[in-house]
Amino acid sequence: MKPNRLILLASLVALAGLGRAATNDYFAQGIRFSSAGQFPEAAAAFGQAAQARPAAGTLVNLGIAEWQRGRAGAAILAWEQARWINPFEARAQANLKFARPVAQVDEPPLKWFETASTWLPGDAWVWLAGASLWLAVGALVLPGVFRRRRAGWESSLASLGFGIFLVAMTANVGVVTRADLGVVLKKNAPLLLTPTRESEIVSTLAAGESARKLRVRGNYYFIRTALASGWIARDQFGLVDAR
Amino acid sequence: MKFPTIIKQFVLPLALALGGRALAADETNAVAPATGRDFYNAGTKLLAGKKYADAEKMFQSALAAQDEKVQPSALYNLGHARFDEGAGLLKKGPDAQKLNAQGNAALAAGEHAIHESEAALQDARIDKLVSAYLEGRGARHDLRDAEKAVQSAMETYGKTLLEWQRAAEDFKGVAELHPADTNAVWNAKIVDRSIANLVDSVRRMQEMSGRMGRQRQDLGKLLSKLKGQIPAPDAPPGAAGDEDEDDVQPGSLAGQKENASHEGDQMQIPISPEAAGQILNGLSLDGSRRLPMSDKQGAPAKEKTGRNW
Amino acid sequence: MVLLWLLLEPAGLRAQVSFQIAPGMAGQFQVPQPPVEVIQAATAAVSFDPPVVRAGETAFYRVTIAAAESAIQWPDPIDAPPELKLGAAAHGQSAQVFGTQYRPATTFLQEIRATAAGHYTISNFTVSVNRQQLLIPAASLDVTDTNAAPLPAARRLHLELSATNIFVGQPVRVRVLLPAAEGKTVDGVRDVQFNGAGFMTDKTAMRMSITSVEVNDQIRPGFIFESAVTPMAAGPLSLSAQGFTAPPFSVGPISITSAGGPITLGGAGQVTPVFLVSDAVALNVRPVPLEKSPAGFTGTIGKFYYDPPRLSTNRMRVGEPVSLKVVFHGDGELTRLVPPATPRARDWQIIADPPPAIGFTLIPQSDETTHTPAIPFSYFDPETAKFVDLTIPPQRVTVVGESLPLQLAAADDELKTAAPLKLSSLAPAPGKAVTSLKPLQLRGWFIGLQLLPVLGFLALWRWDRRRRFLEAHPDLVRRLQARRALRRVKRRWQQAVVARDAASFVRHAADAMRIAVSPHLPADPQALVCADVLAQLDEAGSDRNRRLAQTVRMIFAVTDARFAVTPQAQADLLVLRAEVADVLQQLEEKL
Repeated sequence: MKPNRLILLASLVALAGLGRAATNDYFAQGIRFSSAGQFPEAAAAFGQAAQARPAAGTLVNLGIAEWQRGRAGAAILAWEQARWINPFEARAQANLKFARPVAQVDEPPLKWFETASTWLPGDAWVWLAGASLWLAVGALVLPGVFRRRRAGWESSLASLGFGIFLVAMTANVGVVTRADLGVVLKKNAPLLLTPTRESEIVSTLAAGESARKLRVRGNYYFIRTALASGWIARDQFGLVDAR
Repeated sequence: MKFPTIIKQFVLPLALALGGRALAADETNAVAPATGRDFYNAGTKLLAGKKYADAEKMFQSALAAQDEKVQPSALYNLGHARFDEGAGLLKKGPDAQKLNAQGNAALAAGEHAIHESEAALQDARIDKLVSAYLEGRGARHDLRDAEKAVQSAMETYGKTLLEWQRAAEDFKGVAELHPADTNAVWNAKIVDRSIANLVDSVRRMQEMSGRMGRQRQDLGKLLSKLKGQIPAPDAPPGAAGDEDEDDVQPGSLAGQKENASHEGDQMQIPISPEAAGQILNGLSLDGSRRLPMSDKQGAPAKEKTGRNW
Repeated sequence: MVLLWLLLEPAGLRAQVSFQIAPGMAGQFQVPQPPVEVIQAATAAVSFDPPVVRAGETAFYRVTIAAAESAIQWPDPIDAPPELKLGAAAHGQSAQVFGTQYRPATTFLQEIRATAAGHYTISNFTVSVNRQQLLIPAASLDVTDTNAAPLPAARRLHLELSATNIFVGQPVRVRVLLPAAEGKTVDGVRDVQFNGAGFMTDKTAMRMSITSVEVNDQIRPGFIFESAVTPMAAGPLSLSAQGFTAPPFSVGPISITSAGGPITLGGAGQVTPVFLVSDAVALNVRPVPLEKSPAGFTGTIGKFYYDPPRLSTNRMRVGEPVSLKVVFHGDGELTRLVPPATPRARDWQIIADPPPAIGFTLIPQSDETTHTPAIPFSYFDPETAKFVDLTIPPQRVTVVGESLPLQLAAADDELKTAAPLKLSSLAPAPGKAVTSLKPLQLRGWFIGLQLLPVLGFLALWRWDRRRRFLEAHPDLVRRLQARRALRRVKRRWQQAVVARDAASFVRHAADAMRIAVSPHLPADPQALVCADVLAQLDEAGSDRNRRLAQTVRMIFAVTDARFAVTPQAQADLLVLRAEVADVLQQLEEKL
């Protein structure tokens, strides 16, 4: 490798290291603020850490800080995001179980394939789908290419690959549809009949209530909650995938 | 979830949709509307037939269908329906001029009765006391009637204000959805101005109602004093059970503001009380005269109502 | 104009700032004021000041009537000889306390300019005073020739303005000077009034002093009355001042400074007040370009700045009021500063402090807010004729919302079974991280990445297809191999030419020829001889081919000669390189 390339690679590694160090600084800062009871500052620090590098632990702590400063919606969103990154994050799961009854909101109703998609992290499903597909295709195609008779284990491997692929694809659809789930951030957020400022209010939503984004128009999302649908201002609704 | 919330979020919209469908089927004598477009067309027919309340429900159903193509037009016509509904309420309500005259006459009579009562109390002659008492009772009765009339008018005005505020918001919503729709912007201005005039009238009535209430109270005290000084044999008939009168507290619209708003960027149109009265009188005029709702007088949103899918 | 008036209206209101009353003074206010004496029979005194002037000079016709101004019906204009040109007129009322009573006196002053020398009399005439006729006696003025010796001029006030080319609403400082007369004591001036349409006087900016002033290149002690006026109308305007002489200490608190020479003050005794006026000063008043006014312009004109705004605290709960104080400084009169209008902000309730303080009470309505609202403010700088933005910037705050429960009561059976009873502890480490919360499935690069295996399998398929094709056509493989080998040997042959290595030259040339013809036979190149090569050259076809065939023979003759007893000399064969190249080219074309 040429020296210039080596320098470039080293710089990139160093930059990545710096970025991670900064994230860790924010995380440590957030811990300090939380310990001191300065929850708005802690939330800001964890928020910056999560923005720079979304991590399950950071989001759990962000949720705790938001909860302690009185923002149920932001807290539930942060814990949902933590669970989005790592479905096995125990703190996030426990906090969601604690917070939803307190905030008097329900869990989002998931379809069967969405429930399946929560068994693994969203990214794992897509890798699994890719790997299983190409493994199956390889097991089918490569023996022919290399002028070998296809062995029984190769056929079995192909079948298994396709089977896993089908399951993973279903879960992938669940991941994609789950990406449209979100949480109402503000207390008594108005659900509007039309995507306009002066619109008639269909209903008011509690902070932390889950809903599914169906459409976007201007500065509004058209969402469906368990019992009603309507438009909500973008700044009052946070999507789990933070788009 | 609490029961009222369930009613609000689920049962009411369902009832609204079902009611809307039944209405539309009845009106159009055709298949019940199913799409936003159907509801819009049914509402437009109802609006043309001056069935504003029904048209309002239809347009709301059209909006609830969330059809992006229909929504702006439905919102525009909903504004029309609501404004017309409010204007209709005003027209059916008490005549502002008559009410004003009645109130002023009652106040003048009350003033005179108070003078007479005070004079009689000083004079302490039985015949004067009786005469003042009788006049005072009559004046108090007039004041109560006038107060009731004002109260009733304020209730009507309150309902109209609610309709108009919604209408203004509808037109502003259309302008937000379609910034190029100058008709909507113009209509919103007109509705805002009408609201300002109406609020002026409501304030004047509140003031008059307050004055009448105070005067009735003063008169009540004087009547008690008069009654105390009139010997029982000379007491006029009905004086014994005269103490109480159901007091109608004015101010059901207290705190009503001109176009209470969302963001604080609404238009404020300064208007003199005289001008406000003039326009208010204009609102309760003959039924043949329409308020200008667009730049084309008498043909509100022709292109809108005419659109048919 | 109405809009301008509305705009500047608050400025006028601000001028009436209530001042603090000292406890001692408060007692004085409770003392009833002496009654005003209503004189049954008013008297009048008439004079010309000065009684003698030169032609063209100005004199004042002064009539003092011992009555209240409102009681007098003064004729306007007065009858005067045509040689006396009437100038500006003024009138004012003064009151003197005699014992326990006020005695009002009203003076009418008429400026008169005599056009020619002579003795002129303004004859007596009557005016109505308290509905009674009062005779104003005649008065005479002697006018001498213009060449006569200069005579002492009439006393008058001197009016000075800090600026005369100003904008509507721009306050200007005014000074009224009354220099002491030659060899006389300093008089004060009371009841000072400014005459001129379209001006507003700021009485809060009033100051009085006695100091040395320069009048007609002479330093004299003089009385100075200072105040501020604000033009309320645009256009060419004029302003003059009037007032009554009075003992200096009777007019109010005065500061005395002496720049040179002693200052002798008039006694505090009873002095007849003399009504004096000043010449009018012309002003050019321009309108403020309101159409260009930025947000937050409240009508303030001048030059201002402020200290950093001070917030009582930057950490608060929702609904907890905090105060924002702003201290303004300026070159002009701060009393003319109209404070910023109270803005409207979604997350804040804002209440302006009562004047004259400039500040706001801010109440956060939501814990979402992170900054106080910006408070738009701007002023108009008359020097640059531009608006200057002085918006009070947002201040960073932390608003804490209502706290949520951190744990539930254990008695709550329903929740106890279903959910944990308290919030978890903090995570000690960031844990599993991702680059983005957006799922991989929706990221463009990931979809692109899926193309790589597809491309791999495609390449594999193409490779297999080509392999099968070549298997079906072995001659193509031989030709390909021959071409490849030929390129390799040719390279060596060229190197030999460059190195002038005749042996290698011959050997590689022969090898190349054998390789080039081998696919046509087909045969192993090493098994081929000169005849095989010649067979591919078509020797009878042309002279060139015959020549080339000859070259081939020579090359092969040399290579075959390695088996001979006496090898042939090879050095001269290097000259055949062009012919050899021709042969190789021809053979290669057939491949």
